[in-house]
Amino acid sequence: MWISKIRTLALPVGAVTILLLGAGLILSGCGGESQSKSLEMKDAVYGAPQSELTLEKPTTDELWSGAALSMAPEVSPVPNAKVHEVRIDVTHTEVQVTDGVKFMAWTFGGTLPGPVLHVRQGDKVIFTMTNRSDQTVKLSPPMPHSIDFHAAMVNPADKYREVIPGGTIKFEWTANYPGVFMYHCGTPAILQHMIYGMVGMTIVEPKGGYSTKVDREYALVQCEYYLTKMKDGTYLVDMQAAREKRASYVTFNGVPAQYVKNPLKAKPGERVRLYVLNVGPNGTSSFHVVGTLFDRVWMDGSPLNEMRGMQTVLLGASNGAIVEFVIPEAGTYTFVDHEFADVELGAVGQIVAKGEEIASK
Amino acid sequence: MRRSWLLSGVTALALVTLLLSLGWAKPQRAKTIIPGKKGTVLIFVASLCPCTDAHRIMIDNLVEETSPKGFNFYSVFSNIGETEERAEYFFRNIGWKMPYYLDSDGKLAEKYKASRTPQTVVLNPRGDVLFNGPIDDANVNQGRVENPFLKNTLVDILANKAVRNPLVPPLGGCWIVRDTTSIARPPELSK
Repeated sequence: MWISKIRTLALPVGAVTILLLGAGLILSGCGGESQSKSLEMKDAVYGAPQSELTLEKPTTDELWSGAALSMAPEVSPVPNAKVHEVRIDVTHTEVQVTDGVKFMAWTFGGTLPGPVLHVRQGDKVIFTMTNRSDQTVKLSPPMPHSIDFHAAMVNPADKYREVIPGGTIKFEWTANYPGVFMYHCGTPAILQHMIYGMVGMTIVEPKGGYSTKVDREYALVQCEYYLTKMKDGTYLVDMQAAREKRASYVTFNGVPAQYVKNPLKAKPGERVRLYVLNVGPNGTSSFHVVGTLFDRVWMDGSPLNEMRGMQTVLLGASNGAIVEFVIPEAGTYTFVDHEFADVELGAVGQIVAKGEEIASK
Repeated sequence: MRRSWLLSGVTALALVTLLLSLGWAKPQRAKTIIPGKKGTVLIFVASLCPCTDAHRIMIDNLVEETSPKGFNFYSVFSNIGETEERAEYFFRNIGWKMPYYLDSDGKLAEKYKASRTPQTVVLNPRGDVLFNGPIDDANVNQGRVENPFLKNTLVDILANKAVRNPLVPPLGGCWIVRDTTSIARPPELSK
């Protein structure tokens, strides 16, 4: 009798089991699909038309232009466009590192680091760059420069080729992946061009934006200086020190400890997003904010590379990350490269969160 | 008494040797270019130009290999504003051991039509130009050397052959600047 009962129940139980398993498979497949959709590269644009190299002179004295650009630590919103025309010229200029320390830098856009480029995944960037090193012969000899966008997927021999002094290069590329990327001069000796100042950040926002809403966001580019003092008090770049990885300064956005003297601002309870990029060229960065934890860390700035609740993010040279954290209460929140020798050299800053109303940034 | 004099003499000699060796660690400034038995290699450089750095190990090896065979190497600084201190700074960074010549009036650059750094000129013992051009073509090949022009020249000379590429136009490099009041393009860019 009980055998017949089992036989009676077997079919419906078996059917329900199969149905449940099938449903489970379909649901897990759905979750996988939504993740893989973000990675779907069917819209990716690989390569770009050949770059144009000309000797046409720039028609403006502006060293950078384009709505997608801003100066760190500010991050401008992505312009509402699918195509961004951007110009960043190379110029040799004197840069003040700290009190009493100036040196002849080679820069993108006249600043160290260069401007922050902010676009969206799938956007096209039409990039123009004039090498204006021929306009500052009093300061240093005119020389070839180039640019290497880590965010782009193009033929380097064409797009990242040398631009002679007075020359202009124009090319386009498409931002296929979201992230926080480096750009730098790729002309040999590359180490020398980087320690002279030719570094910058590109932010590529995901197609659908970020899953979190923040109240503040800032861009921080960690970079190193290698300098030697001459008899007349001027400073020159020290390549030997750079090869030996003996930095003179390690900074956020080009000036040692500048955000201790002029802290970044936030309010208690706010959610803050930092776009952090370690341009090196030599050291790693163990980025940490004292007094809070990173609720979200997106390695290299892609939300697909998510970690939660981290105290410190390790960034190799040319690595970036987006970190988000809550300001728990009024106070001063120091951010550092937790390799503390770097703090001694200037890799330290502060976010001050006051209890009372703070003027907008 | 005699022993103490001997000891003092040895100590003094040791100290002098030590001091001289420290002096030798600094790059030597040459007041004139002395021809080598097989030839002379002039490498036009600039203290603030990064383009020479890519060749630093290759040149170091070339000097070590060919100097004993009769080539004299000189770094030549022709840019306006170059000083002994700047030259020492350059050598500290690049690590070369050859002597250098300060071409303060630019006459050497003008004589050999040097417009870029680095640019090399190879002379025979009589002073005739056997080669004038870049060190190699790494600049145009993303760092890959397909034509080591300078090395090939020295190999040809040592083999008593005609230099295969006696004149190669510049393939990059910094401009040699003789006048800071105007922007003067190198001749080949002015065409």
